[in-house]
Amino acid sequence: MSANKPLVWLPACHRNLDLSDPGGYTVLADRYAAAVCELGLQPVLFPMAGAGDVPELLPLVDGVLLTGSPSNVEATHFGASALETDLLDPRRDRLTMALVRAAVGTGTPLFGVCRGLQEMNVALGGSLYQQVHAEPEHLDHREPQDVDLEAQFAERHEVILAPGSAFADWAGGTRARVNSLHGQGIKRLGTGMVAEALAPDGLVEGVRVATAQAFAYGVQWHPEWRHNHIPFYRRTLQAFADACREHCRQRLGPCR
Amino acid sequence: MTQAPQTLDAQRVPCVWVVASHRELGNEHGHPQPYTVMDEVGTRTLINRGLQPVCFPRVPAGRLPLMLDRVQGVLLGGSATNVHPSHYAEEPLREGMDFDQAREAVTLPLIRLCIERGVPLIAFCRGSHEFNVALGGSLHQDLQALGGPVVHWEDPQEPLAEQYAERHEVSLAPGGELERLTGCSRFAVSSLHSQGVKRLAPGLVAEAHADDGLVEAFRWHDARQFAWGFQFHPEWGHQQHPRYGKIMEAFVEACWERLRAEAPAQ
Repeated sequence: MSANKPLVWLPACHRNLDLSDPGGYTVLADRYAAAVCELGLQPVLFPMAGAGDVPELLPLVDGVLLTGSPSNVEATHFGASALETDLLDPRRDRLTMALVRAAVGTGTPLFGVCRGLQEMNVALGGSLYQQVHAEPEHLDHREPQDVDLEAQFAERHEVILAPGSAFADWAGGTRARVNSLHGQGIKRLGTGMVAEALAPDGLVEGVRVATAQAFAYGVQWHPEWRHNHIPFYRRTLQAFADACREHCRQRLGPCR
Repeated sequence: MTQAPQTLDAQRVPCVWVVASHRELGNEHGHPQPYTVMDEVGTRTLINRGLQPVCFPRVPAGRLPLMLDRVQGVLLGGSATNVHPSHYAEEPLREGMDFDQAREAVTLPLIRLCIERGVPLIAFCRGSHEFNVALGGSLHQDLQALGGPVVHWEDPQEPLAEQYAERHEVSLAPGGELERLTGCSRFAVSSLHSQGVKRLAPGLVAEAHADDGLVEAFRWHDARQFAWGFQFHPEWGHQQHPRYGKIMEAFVEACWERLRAEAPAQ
């Protein structure tokens, strides 16, 4: 029999094609799936999966990658109420809240990007600033609006990495430049989470889940963007891929 | 039948690969980026009938056989895009037609693999066009331009529920499999398409026709394998429309059969 291929579950978003409301289509931004493929893993999507499906589906995969999205985590999950301007995706919230807890609990490799980091934080009991830019002590972390994608995803600020952390290892030092495209951000850190990367204004931008049995990291920036050209991003994703491969070996035997 | 489904691991249900489409969608600033997109009708139908839908976004062609091993059925749904006519040796009829060649890079080899390996396959609308083209058939690129008596295309002004209403009747091949499956010889179907089967591929058998002669349902010639293409949408309204329900039920049963065949002997 041929070697197994590690599967990475990418929870999808739900939206109309014109972004008008959270329904109608199951969608996934291709750059995440492309990055997973380039790492030699296979993305898998379970359309319309709900929280109740997690116990049956999680054992079928070797890792979970929570992607970024134009939508925000609904504030009711951390004891606040949604802003009128929020674009929401309640179905994704319900799935990812359960999925984060299950991945941490079962030792399934977990990696969160942007909204994904925020989901990890909220699922583990933390809270979010709903508008980081409205906080006097914080910078505006949003992308400029009237420029092209290349410029929106350009590296915008520094992050300070905890000495001896995996982040410092991936960056080859305790400082790195990252892109920044977010309005929400971590306020109170979730249970078992350790802040290992901070923006210059003190915002938590990179975390490790210390209570997880396997790789469990989240980042506020987008390492999937041009990861082939930026060594810090590439090494971050590579570490997640290595963890997924190891999980696959334990689950099924030889894999590639 | 070797085993009843209840004797399997209770958690194991057939997985069905729902093939995705691809579109450029805007972010909140309008910048278009490529997305994998799935409409929810086919997915919801599978879930309602107890199967597990799964999709493998961006699967490279070389991994298709490995991923097909993980599932017990394949569903190819409709989409607003057209199958590129280069797959049946024609040029696009006019400029500005919408295509999704990334989807065909998956579906055309996947269909051939399903046939080779006996994996249950159900295809609707664009999916049925892909099924026909994958095996060497061809398509009418624009039925409206042919000016036939049957209106096959939807009115873009109507809401979706009306677009999916039954629009015209189809006659089933006398003594055929679809007649046996549905227990009737003629029924009304939904119709939302501007392309359709022109030359049916070798190995496929027509099972239903519209009154203008257009092929509306076909299957792989060996009826022991469930591999069907439908021009209409049995996945939409399968709970209200008894014929659609029977079609979906037959696919579901074929997927269970496949899973039972994989189960280790006790």
